[in-house]
Amino acid sequence: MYKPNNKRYKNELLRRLSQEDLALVEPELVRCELPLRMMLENRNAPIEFVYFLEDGIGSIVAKIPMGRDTEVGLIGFEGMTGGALVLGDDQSTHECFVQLAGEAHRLPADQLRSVLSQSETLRPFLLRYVQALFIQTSYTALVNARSKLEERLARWLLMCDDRVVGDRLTITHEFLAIMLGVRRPGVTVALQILEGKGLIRANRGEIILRDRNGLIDLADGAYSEPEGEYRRLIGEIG
Amino acid sequence: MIRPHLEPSTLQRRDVLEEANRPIEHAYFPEDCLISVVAMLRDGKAVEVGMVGREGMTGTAIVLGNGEASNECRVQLEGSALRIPAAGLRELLPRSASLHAQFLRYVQVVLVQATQTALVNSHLTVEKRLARWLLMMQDRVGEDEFDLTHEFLAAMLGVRRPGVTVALHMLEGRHLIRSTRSHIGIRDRAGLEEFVASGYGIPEERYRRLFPGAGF
Amino acid sequence: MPRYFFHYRDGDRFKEDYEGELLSGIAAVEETAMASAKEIIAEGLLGGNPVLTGYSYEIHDEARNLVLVFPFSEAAEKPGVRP
Repeated sequence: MYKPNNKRYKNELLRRLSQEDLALVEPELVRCELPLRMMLENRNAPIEFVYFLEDGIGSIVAKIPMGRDTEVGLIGFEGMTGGALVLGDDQSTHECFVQLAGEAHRLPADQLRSVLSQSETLRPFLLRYVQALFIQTSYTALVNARSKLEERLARWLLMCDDRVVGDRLTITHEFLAIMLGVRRPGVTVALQILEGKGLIRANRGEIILRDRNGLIDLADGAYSEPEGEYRRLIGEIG
Repeated sequence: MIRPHLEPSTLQRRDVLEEANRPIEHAYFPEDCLISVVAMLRDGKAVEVGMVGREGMTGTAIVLGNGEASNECRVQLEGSALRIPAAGLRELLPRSASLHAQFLRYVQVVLVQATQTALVNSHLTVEKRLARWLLMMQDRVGEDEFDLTHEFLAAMLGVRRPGVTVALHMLEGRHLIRSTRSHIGIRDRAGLEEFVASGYGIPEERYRRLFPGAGF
Repeated sequence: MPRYFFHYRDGDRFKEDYEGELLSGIAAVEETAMASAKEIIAEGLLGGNPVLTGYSYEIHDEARNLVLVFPFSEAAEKPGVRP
């Protein structure tokens, strides 16, 4: 007899779905690869699939025409894309694409809508994640206005590290530039500042976190509040 | 359905309606007041991440199923609002799918507003962010003249006070606004929109798409 | 478009840019260096630091030829496009 099994997922949301909700969702889930730069959502276009990430990082990016891209949301195995669908919208306002390759379980948007209408508990659960993502975005708006370059960099590195197994990050400078809101060559300078403080080692496209607590101190409150809110809303990770 | 639960309330400038990490007591539906949603670091550094007027509501954390506020909600312009106790709203939501759906669509607008704020805080000059802020304010108040201190504007934009003075002076030099001590008048709305370009308008567009005919 | 590498030097410290970026030519290289240096100087000032004029970008093409040395002091003193 078919029995849903949360344990087979690394995604924190799928792991926490009730047996009834997982039984509704699971038959529609398809495992897929997330290659670097794959588009998960297009700007102002209907959302086709919702992705529950197993590993890798998806990035929600806002754009100003003629201007540069800015990171406004980071999603890893703790979350999902398609927040707009959970809120009853069918379009995403921003692009979402893969910044660190990985895997996901995906669900067609229509299926999610149908499952949401069949279950009384699924939407409330996913809304908790939407709230966590909203808090993350509020903090991004806050630090973009108020925090120093090295504080913002420390925050992003910690957030990426939370979503990656091991202490080596293979994120591109191009991605870090989007997060920091500076041009790509400046990322090297910013990394050097943290390296000079002995907090990281940056080498050949790889960043190693040497002193996590030091980075948390440096981020000075910009990190850990939203992460605490995630734990309050969803639970402990791992 | 919600009407019997609503009670009128008068809000004064600087009233705090929600505090971060505290249970929300009431959700407010502004009639002619204006409310700021403010995110704050633990050392007190803050920035506004959302603005709520008669087009919206506070208490979005309740709509999302959780009673604790994430940010601070502060009254910016005094006026009247209707309010409903948090417990009343929580009871109502599961009983009316259409009401809940409507409020969730508004949360989507709030989320888009926050993402746009993150974007402009990263890439736009203080002058442009100020111009965006004035446009958002006018959308919700429907008037061209506001009483606003530079100190208040600085807190909303997350810059130091003298920077606001410089930015106001610059917008005045472009004949877009008139600014005297703690008073700002909008002279040329179209000019302000042109000046901010795509830094303004995306959440507003989303609102109109999700709430057609709402007159916003 | 050719790829250019913006290595960065601060006195004795040298940091290699392994990623590089595609730019149309030397004019675009110079514009990017200018805008990026202005940005980093501004960020430094906002962070309470003095103007970081001792830094420079040493920009190489794919064949590892040095195409431009861009001292940050130029960005502090000369006008350029807004970062």
